[in-house]
Amino acid sequence: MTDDLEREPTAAALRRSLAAHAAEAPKGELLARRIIDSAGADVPVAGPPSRRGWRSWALPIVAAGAVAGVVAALVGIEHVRPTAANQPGSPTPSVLSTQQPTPLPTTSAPESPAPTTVPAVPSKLANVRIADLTFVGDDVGWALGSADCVGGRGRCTAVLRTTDGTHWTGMSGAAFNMLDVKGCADPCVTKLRFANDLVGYAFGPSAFYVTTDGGRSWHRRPGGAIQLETLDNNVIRVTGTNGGCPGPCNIRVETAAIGSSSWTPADFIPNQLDVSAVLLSREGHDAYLLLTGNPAGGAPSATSTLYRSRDDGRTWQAVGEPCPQTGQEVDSTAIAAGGADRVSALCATRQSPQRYRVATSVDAGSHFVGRPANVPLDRVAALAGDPDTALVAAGSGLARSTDGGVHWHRIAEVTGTIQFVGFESMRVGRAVSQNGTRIWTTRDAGRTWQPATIG
Amino acid sequence: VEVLVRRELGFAGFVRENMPALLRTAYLLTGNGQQAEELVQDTLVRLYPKWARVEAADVPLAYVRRSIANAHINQMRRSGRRELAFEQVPERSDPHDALGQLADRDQIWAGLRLLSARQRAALVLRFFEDLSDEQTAAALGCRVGTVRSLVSRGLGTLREQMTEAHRHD
Repeated sequence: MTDDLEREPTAAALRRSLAAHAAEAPKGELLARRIIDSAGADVPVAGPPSRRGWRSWALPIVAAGAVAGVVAALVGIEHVRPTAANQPGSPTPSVLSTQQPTPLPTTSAPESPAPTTVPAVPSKLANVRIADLTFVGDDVGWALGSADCVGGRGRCTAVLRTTDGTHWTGMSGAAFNMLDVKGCADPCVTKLRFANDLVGYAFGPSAFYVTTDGGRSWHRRPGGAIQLETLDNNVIRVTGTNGGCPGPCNIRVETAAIGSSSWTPADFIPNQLDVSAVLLSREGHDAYLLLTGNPAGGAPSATSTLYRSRDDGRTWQAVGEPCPQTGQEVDSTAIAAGGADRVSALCATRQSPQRYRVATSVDAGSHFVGRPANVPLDRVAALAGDPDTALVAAGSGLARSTDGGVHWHRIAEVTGTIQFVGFESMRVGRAVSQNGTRIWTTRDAGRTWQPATIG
Repeated sequence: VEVLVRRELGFAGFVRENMPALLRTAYLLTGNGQQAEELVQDTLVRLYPKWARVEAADVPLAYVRRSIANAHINQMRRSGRRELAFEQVPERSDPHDALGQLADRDQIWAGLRLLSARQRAALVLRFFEDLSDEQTAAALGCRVGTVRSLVSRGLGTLREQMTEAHRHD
C-alpha cells in the first residue's frame, strides 16, 4: 500500500502543498521567549481559556462623528430601565430619568461605588436603532443602540443581547447615553465590545464602563477609550483627549488583562499630531492602529500612519502610510487585519468623485501593494475581512472581493447606507443598515447575507 | 533546585531550537497561524512539568510532535468544532484574476479544511513528517489499519476536491 501511495497523484500533490504551506507557519521567536520566560517562573503560560482566532469589527460612520461629538455637560441620563418604584406590579411608568452628579474631567471619572443591577427591561423594545455590535461566538452577541423610552417619551439607551444571532432581548443597567440619546451627553458611550460571555466594555472618548456579568450591570471606570479590541486574553484600548485638535489629541495605547482595571501603557510613540481618526484592528497577536491625517483643505502632507504590534499591543512600530501615493493624493481611511500577516487598507482618492481601492500586505504591513480595481460603491467607509478569503467594503452598500481587492462585486441584496460591518470569524459576519434597524448576517464569508429587522 | 534549573535549561534549549519545526506541524494541523501558536504553547506548558520524560524519549521532538497532534485532535473533539472551516470550500477566483487560478496545492490546502482533525493529522504526520503507517499509528494511539483508513479517506476527499475544481476550469 505504501508504494501505491507514493505513486498516487493526490498524495504527491499533498506533499507539495504541505511543504509549501509549512513555510507560511509563524516563526515563533516571541512565542518561544514567552514560553521560556514563563517556564522559568514555573507558572503556566496560558491564562483562562480565551477566544481564539479572528475577529474584525469596524464602525465606519457613526463612530467618526462620535469622536468629535463629546459634550461634557450636566444632564440627565435617560435609559430604558425601570426604577425600584416601577418593578413588575408597579403601576408607575417604567421610564427613568436620573440626574447624575456633575461630570468630572473626561479622563478622571471615579470608580463606580457599587454595581447597579436592575431588573431586565421588557424584551420587546420599540424602534430600536443599532449603533454597534459585538459577538463572542457566531451567534452570541450584544448590541448598543437606542429605542423609544418605555412610556414613549424620547429616545433611551438600549443594550440588547442575542444567543441565536437572530432574536434580541433588551437588557437593563445601561446607565449611559449614546449617540441619539441626549446628544450623547456625558457619560457618552459610542461602542461596545465583549471579550467573553461575562466581561464587556462600553466606552466613548470620555466614558469607560465594564461589566463582568454579561451586561446585566455596568461599572464606570476612569477615563475613556476611542478604540478598544479584545482578543487573545487581553484588551488593547486607545485613549485620547479633545483639546483643540481637529481630532483626538494625546493619543495613548494601553493594555490590560480581560476584566482587569489595571492598564499598562504600551510602548507607543505617535509621530504625528494632526489626527482625524483612530482605527484599530486585531488578528491573533497582531494589532494594527491607523492614525489618519486630517485632509481638510486638501493638505498634501496630511498623511496617515500605520502602527503595528506583534505582541498583543505591548510594543508598537510605525510602518508608514499604507496606501501607495500614485501621483495623486490618496488617503488611507480604514484598516482590516487578516490572518497570517495579511492586512488590508482602504485607499480613497481626494479627487471628485472619490474612488476607493484597496492595498494589501502579506508581511504584516511592512509593504503594501495597491490593487487597481475600484470598489463599486459611491462611498466606502469601512473594510473588514481577510484578503486571502473575503474582503468586504462597506459604505453605500456592500462589496466583496475574494482575491485581495483585484476584483470586486457588489452585494446586490444589501442596499442603503451601511452603518457597521464586522466579522466574528472567517465565515460569520454582520452588517447594519437602514439607519440601524436592519442587521444582515453572512455565514459564508460574505457571499450571501440574510436580513433581520430589529424591534 | 538543581533539578529544576537543569529542567529549565533543557526545556529552554529545546523550545528555542525546535519552535519553528513545531509551529510548522501545528500550522499544518490547524491551518491557522494563531491557532498553531496556541496549540504549541498549550502543549509545551502541559509537558513542562514532566520534561524529564520528554528528554528520556528516543526522539524528544517526535514525542512533542505526537503530543501536539493529539492535543489538537482532543481539542477539536471536545469543542465539537471544525476549526475555522468554511461551510463550503471558498469559491474559486475569477478565471481572469490577475492572481491566477488556484494551484493544485491551494486546492489541496482548501480541501484539508474539510477533513476531520484525525484525518488531517494522519495526513500531516504521514506526508509531511514522513512517518510510516506504524509510527503514525503510535503517534495517534490507534491501530495501523485505522491509520490506513484515515489516510485513504482523507486522500479520497482531497481527490474529489481536485476533480471538482478541474471540472470547473
